[in-house]
Amino acid sequence: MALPGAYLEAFTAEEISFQAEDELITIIPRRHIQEMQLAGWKLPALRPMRRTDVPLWLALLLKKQDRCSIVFPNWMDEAVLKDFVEKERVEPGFSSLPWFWQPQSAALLAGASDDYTGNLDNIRQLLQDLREIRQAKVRQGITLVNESHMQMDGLSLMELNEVRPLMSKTMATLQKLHQ
Amino acid sequence: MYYDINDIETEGQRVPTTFNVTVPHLGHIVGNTETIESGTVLELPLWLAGQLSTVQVDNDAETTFVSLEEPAVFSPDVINALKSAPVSLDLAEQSTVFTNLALHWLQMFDFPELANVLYDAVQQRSAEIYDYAVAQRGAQPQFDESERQLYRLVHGVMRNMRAWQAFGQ
Repeated sequence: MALPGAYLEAFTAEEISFQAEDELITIIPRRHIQEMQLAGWKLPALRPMRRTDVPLWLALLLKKQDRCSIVFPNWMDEAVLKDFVEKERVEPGFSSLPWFWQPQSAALLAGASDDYTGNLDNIRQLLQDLREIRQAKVRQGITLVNESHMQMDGLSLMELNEVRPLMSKTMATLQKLHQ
Repeated sequence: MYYDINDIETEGQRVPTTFNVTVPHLGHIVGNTETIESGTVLELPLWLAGQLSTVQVDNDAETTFVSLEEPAVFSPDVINALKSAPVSLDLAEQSTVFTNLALHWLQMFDFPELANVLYDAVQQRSAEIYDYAVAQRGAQPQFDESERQLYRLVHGVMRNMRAWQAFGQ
């Protein structure tokens, strides 16, 4: 396929956001919606005030039409996020945030911020802190990589995607030098 | 691999060779028509020098056409500089394809010191590439061609991430 070089080595952020939209999220419908057979997935009948899990893309669509409100995932609570930041600062490894924590939080904050019960500025700051602390750890990890081994468990897809081209090429060079 | 412009450039790098035999009428490679005497020191491109240094003059002789000398870019001075300041050394000033040339050279010769020093340098310089791609702070580190290509790739990924973040907030 004729793709620009950058597309061959890594995903774009938009591609990862797209994947993240298939994650399930809880909504509280406001209107009746009949069940629907969609491609590959069946939307159950939605009844007002009954919590239902739907994919993120559908939740955001219904939210836009004012047919539901979205329940933010537990890990996005301010207190839980604070714990994550604290752990991230103290522990050497990466804390176990969801695989799509960046695109998911970004989409929710952009499309459904009025459903969030806590302080939006605080949570944005906490997410930013998390990102920066984790990025600093990634940077430290790069110098420790050798020709056959790298360990960075707990990284999310988007963060992996950022270091993948550098890591794979560096390790290839190191491997050649090792022989 | 001849699909990589870097490899073509690398194979075109000139390395010093000493002729082991006298070759009549080979002078055209240095711009005349005369004989090249045994013992002449010439700088030949790597692709030619590599071949001539492995091919024997005739089947039962041990002698090859030329012997390869170590190029100046791998002199002890450079290796020591790379050892003591792996990040700040301007690799491109030594050779624009330093890393690649070293990899080619190491395929032909055993040169553990170069391999070890370059191994450490590659580890540290790749962290430097990452730093500079995340935020262009300070002076640009001195990259050789393969490092520059890697930097451009990583920088593209980072720029895409930043644009996406700015859009999302």
